[in-house]
This record gives sequence, structure tokens and C-alpha cells, in this order.
Amino acid sequence: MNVKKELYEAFSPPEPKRKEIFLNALPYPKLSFSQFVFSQIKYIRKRVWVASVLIVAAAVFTVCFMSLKAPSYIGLPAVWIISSLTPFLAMLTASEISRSNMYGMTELETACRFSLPQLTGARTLILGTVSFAVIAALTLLSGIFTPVGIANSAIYILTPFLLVNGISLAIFSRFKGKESGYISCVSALFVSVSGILLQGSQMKIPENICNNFCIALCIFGTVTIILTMKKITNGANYYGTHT
Amino acid sequence: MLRKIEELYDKIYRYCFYRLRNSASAEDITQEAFLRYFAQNTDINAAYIFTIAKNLCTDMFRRKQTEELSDDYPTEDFSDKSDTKVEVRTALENLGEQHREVLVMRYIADMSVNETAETLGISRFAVYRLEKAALAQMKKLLKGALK
Repeated sequence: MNVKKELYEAFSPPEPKRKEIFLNALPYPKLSFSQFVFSQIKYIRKRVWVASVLIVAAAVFTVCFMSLKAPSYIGLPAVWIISSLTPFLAMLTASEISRSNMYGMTELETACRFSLPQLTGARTLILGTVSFAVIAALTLLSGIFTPVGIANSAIYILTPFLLVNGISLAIFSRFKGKESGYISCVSALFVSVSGILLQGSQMKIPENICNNFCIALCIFGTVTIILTMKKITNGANYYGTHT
Repeated sequence: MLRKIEELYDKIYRYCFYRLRNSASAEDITQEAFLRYFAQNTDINAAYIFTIAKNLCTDMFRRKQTEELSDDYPTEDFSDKSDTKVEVRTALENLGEQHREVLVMRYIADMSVNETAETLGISRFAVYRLEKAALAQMKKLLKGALK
């Protein structure tokens, strides 16, 4: 005998008669859009905030350590090490944006006045702001404290971030469950390690070719992000094919 | 938000009906709890609304005890009168007050552990512990009754 089920059924009351009328007339406060966006902050997992802080801390440590202990490596190697951290932030950001689509979560229940695209938009806005702040901090750090320059630092730091963000979003929109997390993690690790290995190898790639290649990858990443976000916000089709 | 309020309405109504055994009064108190809550608050705090409803039920129950019951206040019973359901109801009434309250909130009103803990002013761990003990006692009582 399932006591829990029996308890629920044994104490079933008659249907409430005035519920609809009351709820239609209930003067409950309606959320404004800014309140709605802020309400979403508490649903973003702590790991995103922790990762953002850790990435900035690791970048500061790298620059400080290299300028003190290995001044000859303060140029490109430092920037590549810093840029190799961003794929993990990108992966977390993408997984966080896709989470609302993957599971029926509480925030969907609480925010039922807002549609799924609005909800995804709000979360993207928050996560995008956090990522922008982190990327800006890393770029300034590399640009000011290394001889690479702000423009080049921005390209090298943005490339892995945009690439992994695009790939992860595409993965999360195609696959369900833990598998998508693992695949996304592998892609972040691959991009992060390849950046360091390429820099560590003695391959002499001319700077303009390297920059053009990075810009091409940035464009590829951005286009993938835009297309996948469009697909995610058109949630109906997504749910139709994947649930 | 409306969907959450709707769900909460059902939960509170179930709880109030359990306490009062009168659908009209249960609905009155459910609505009163919502109105009192939204007169002063902007977001939803299920435990807070439950606490208001619980206190209103207690007030009404006390009033009923001091007033003479008349035909104006008919008590209703739960619809299903099969043997098992009657035994379950009797077993629940035989539990201690704390155990009964936890089971009523968790399984009759369908509240979450968090909501139950906040409403009763105890920890989540205490809710789990009381719930486990209450369910074990219920099983024991039902085993004896249904033999």
C-alpha cells in the first residue's frame, strides 16, 4: 500500500467553486520587465559566478606571476594562457542559457506571465553581461600589462570564448541530458588546450595570418551563437523534436 | 505567477478543507489568506500565505467551539468512503499532533519540504525526520487495521 498516495486520495475535498472568479479578480502585483530580469539572477547557478571570479583571479595571478618570475613570457604566452580560460566560462554560460529549454524548471512556473523566448532572453542578458565584464577585464589586463596590445588581446581572448559558446549552444540545442554537458566540456577542453599547445609549439605563424584566422573563428562562433539562439527562442519546434 | 497562485490556491484549499470540513469556509479562508498577503507583499511566499491560512483556520475553529453549532454550518465529509480510505483517515487522526501536521502538509496539501519547514518553523531535516516517523507509524496502524 502506498501510504502517500492513499493519504492524498483519502482527503480529497470537493472541487472549489469560486476559484476562477477569485483568481481573475485577485489584485496580485504584476512584475515589470526589469524586475523579471533581476528575478532571474537567483536562478543562475552559483558555479557561473564562482567560475567568473576564478577566471579573473587566475588571469591576474598569471600576469603577476609572469611579470615577476618569467618576464620573457609576459607577451603572447600570457595572453594565450588567459584566453585558454575563457572556453570554460563559455561552456558554463551556454549550459546555463540552454538549461531552461532542457528541463521544466521552477523559474518557468514562476515566470509564466513571460514566454519562453523572453525568459531565455532575460537569462542571456544576465549571463552576457557577466561574460562581457569578465572578457573586458581579461582584455584590459592582457592589453595593459603585456606588450601584445588591447586589440590583439581582445581577438585572442574572444576567439576561444565565442567558438566554445557557439559549439556548446549548438550541442545543448541538439542533445539532451548529461551527454550534452560532457560533449560541451570536451569541446571546451579541446579549444583551451589547443590554444596553449599551438602557442607552446615552435610553429612560427605570421601575426596577420594568425589574426585573420582568429577573426574568422570569431565570426563563425558569432554566427553559430545567433543561429542557435534563434532556434532556442523558437522553443516550440525545439520541444517538438527533442522531448 | 498566476499559475503558481493557482497551484497554491489548491494546496491551501485542500489544507483548509482538512481542518474545517466545510468547502465554503475552506474557500473563504483560502481567499482571505491571499487577499491579506497581497495587501502587503509583492512576491509570492508560499509559507507565509500558508501560515496566514493556518492561523485563520485556527481562529475559525476556536470561534466554532465557542459558538453553538447550528444548521447554518453544515460539515461535509470526504467524498470517497471506501474501507481503505476510511482506515487511512482514522489512522491519521490517531497520530500525534506534530506527525499529523507534517503528513497533512506534505501529502494532503501537497506542500514541498521547504514550504512545510518554513510554515512549521522547523528545519528541513526535522521535516524529513518527522515525516519518516509519521509514515512508519501510519503503516503500522494501517497494517493492524486492514488485517
